[in-house]
Amino acid sequence: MKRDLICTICPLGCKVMATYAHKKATAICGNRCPKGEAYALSEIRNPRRILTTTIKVEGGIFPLVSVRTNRPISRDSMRRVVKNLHNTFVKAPIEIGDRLAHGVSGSGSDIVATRSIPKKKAKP
Amino acid sequence: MDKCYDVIIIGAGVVGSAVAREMSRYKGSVLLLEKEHDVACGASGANSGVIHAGFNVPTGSLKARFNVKGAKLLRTIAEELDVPMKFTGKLVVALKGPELAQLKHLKAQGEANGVRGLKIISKDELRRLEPNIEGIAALHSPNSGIICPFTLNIALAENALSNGVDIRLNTEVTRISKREDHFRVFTKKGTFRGRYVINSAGLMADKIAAMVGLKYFRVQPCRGEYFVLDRASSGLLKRMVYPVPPVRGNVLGVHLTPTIDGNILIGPSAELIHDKYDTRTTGPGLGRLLKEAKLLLPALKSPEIITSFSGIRPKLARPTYRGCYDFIVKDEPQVRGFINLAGIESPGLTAAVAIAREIALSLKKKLALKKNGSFKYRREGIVRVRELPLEERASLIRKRKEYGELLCRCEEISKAEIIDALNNPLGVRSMRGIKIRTRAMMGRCQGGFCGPNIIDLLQRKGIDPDEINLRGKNSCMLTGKTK
Amino acid sequence: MTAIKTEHIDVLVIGGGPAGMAAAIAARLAGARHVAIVERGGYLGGILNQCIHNGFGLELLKKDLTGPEYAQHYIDQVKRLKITVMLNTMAIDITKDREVTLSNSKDGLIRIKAGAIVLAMGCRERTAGMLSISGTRPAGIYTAGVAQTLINLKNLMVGKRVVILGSGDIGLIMARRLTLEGAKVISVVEKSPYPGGLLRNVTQCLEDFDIPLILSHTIIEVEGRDRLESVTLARVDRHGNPLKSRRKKIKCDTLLISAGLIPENELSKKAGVRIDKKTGGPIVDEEYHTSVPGIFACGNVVSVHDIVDWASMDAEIAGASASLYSSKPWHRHHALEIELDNEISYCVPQILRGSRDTEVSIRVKRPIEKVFVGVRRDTMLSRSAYHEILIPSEALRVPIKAGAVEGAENLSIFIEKSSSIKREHK
Repeated sequence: MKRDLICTICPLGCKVMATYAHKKATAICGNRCPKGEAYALSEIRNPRRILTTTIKVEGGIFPLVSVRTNRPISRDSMRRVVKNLHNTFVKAPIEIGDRLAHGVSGSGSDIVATRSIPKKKAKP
Repeated sequence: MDKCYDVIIIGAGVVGSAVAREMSRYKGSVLLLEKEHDVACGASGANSGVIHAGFNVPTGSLKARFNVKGAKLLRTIAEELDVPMKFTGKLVVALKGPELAQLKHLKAQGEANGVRGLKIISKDELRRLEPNIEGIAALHSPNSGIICPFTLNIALAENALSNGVDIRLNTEVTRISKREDHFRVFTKKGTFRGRYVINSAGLMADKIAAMVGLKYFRVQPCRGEYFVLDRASSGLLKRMVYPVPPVRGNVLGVHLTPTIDGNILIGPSAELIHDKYDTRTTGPGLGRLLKEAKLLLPALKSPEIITSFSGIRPKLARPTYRGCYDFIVKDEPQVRGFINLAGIESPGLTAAVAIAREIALSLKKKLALKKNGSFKYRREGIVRVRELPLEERASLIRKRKEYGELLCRCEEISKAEIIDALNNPLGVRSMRGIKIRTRAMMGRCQGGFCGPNIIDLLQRKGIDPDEINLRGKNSCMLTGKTK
Repeated sequence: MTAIKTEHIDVLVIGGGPAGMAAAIAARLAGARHVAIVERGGYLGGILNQCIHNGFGLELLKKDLTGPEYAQHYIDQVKRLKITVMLNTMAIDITKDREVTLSNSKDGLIRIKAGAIVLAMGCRERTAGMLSISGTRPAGIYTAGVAQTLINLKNLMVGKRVVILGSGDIGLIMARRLTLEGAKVISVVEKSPYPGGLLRNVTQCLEDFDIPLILSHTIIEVEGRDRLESVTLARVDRHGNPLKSRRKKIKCDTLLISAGLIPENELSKKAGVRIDKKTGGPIVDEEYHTSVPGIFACGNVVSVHDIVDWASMDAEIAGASASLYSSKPWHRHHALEIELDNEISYCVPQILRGSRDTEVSIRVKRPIEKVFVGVRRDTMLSRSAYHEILIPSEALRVPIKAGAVEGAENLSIFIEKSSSIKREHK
């Protein structure tokens, strides 16, 4: 089988053509760097993405904290992970880089804060 | 039995609100009913915002009488009620020879109506006044002006409220029954009794009149579409520019109007429609506007359009006075105590206060009302920081810090103004309500920057996200919280 | 006593987004002592804070960061370098003599005399109103960016069944975001025959979630009295005009508009800065110096960038130049206007003075394949490079040496089909 892919590793967006059978690549062309090949291989086998979303914050200056997975997770698990985080909340203060949830995708990925959320000052 | 009002006014457009305000000069009980969530939701809130001098209307008509009188009254009333107004002057432009005769006719008609200062000017003079405008000659009317139609309507209603008028929004009249010496006005929110009923329901005036059996007129909705140009285009013209009125349609034609806030309006078109709520804009309608506007203003090559909208004129279906679709201002002899103010289309904004004063005076006599000794004739509006000299603005911020934080960038509206709009006396809490009271969200980014901040302020006022609405409870902005 | 106090500042940066921060940092590092950033919002980073997705920093920082993380990288430096930050502060006026009037709630009105100014106000979104779509004006019509603010920062959901008009990057990103937050994105509709955003966003935001991208279509009518009820989709011809046939009504409660960004230059115009009609931003030279001496501009206020890294890179040059100017204003050389091939819609910088090596960013009008892009000085070809494909959604950066400008009478950037250029080489 053949598949035209757009490499998403960098903004160049190379058009990579992959020929494969049973999730195994037989030929890859069009990539301008080795990252493109790795990307194509992974796209055929098991596409992985960094997931970004938000988590509710309690007592912060903002109601949400933006988060990401610390490594790419299986594309097909993204919706499930977001759904599982739906009712989670974390307490302020939060520092950028804080691990807010562990092992979310069954593959040992963690959810990491991408922004610091200071505590809301109590009203005098 | 519950209280019987002296007067119940149906419809809080500019006419109804003006009547309410004029009635509050006297010691009578007045109730103003409005089916929408705010005032100025119909034609009063979607028009050119022009103070007509009074040369477009046939001599002897009610339109002529109330227009000329209204234009005079507005000068005082706008000042008393803190309504932005400016007498920019107006030009009616002839593009070709045969139209010259029409200019002369308008001038003669205007003079017969009592309009002063009208002058026919040459092409050179026209060029000198408005270098971007095409034309071979023009009628110049120095006493025509512009006014903020929203603020006028709001100010009249707020002033009426502070002088004791009861105002009920979201209260649609469903039925009226005539009793011996009073009316029972049924609404979706209860029944009210009133000795006099004033029908100023605009587009729905025929429906209201029919409730007491008066079916001699029908309101024919006539839609007019407009373009709004960015304030950056304000240099294109200084005063209103109209074409010679088209022969058909009994309208004024697509004109160019500088608004009080520095935008330019192009429009309106004129299209007879069936549905009185059908305020859509149409592709062909908008296309025609630009084409016609370019005849007057060829410099309008790539207009900086920020938005478009349409308004619906409450036109009468048939002419009532010498071929003129005149206003109906009538104390109905068949239904004693019922007063129709119907067909109040252009120049209704200008005429409203004059009509109201006359009606109020006659009701005062009929009801033998005393003067309201504590009548407050002034109303203070929301401060417009953008318009203040910088020094004054700086000292104002020192007194109230929120004047310093500008939430709306395009129109330079401060947080203080938006908070004041949120706390408006009529209790309107919609996004549109804030918009027409402050101009926030009305600028070139159409709320892109300030919209979310205003939603924040509404929430802080205790309004749930799923209750935040654009204009009334069914027009929800949001579907609740994300999580 | 006057109610407005005046302050002197070496470099004043207007806008605290990615471009503004990078400019301020560069100005400080280049020696300017008192550098200040004016930001209308409540925090630094501007639009980056709501761009919670990743893909930022790959070019410049060689890291795959989310928007807030990319912002933090700069916020840390702003703090370390003791750059003055004025939040919730709006610049309301600016003169060509570099006098800026600011308004905020803490200090009221402040007048700043600046040695140099960097304009970094960014851009705003094209609105539904500007598109003049026919129909009613119900609730439920948002620009993609406003929806992004509400969903990602304010925890507010805009709707349940969504159609997105325009395939700009924010629109694509929001298609994914809305889907992940439980809304149904029915389709993304694009008037052009090709997507408006980056290809990787088409893949990751639409294809990953099976969201259809409908090209060569537009929305011609919206319906709904209170809340949006439906939109009407129409196919367009080659000139973008909707066809009478092939129309389809889609039931939805939300319409997002992602139909382009407009540089915010109302302030620039007050200072008399000359604006390029095509970019909508100031005409700048390779120092990002505008037509008004001492006023520089960078980031999306100059022209809308595809990726933030490039906005930051340009901003660094603008900031460093502003710093230099504030200590020692220079007399400017004669500028050479870059001439453009018919296939190119615009370039930035638009003019060159030969003061430094530079990268000129060009954008093509339509996709073209297998071409050489080159620079021609007078009649001499000075450089060319082969490209498999050029598309309007992705700008190309063409390097031009300072030496190529010096003494030149004419400088042009051309695009030629690979076959024709080979002949020229012979």
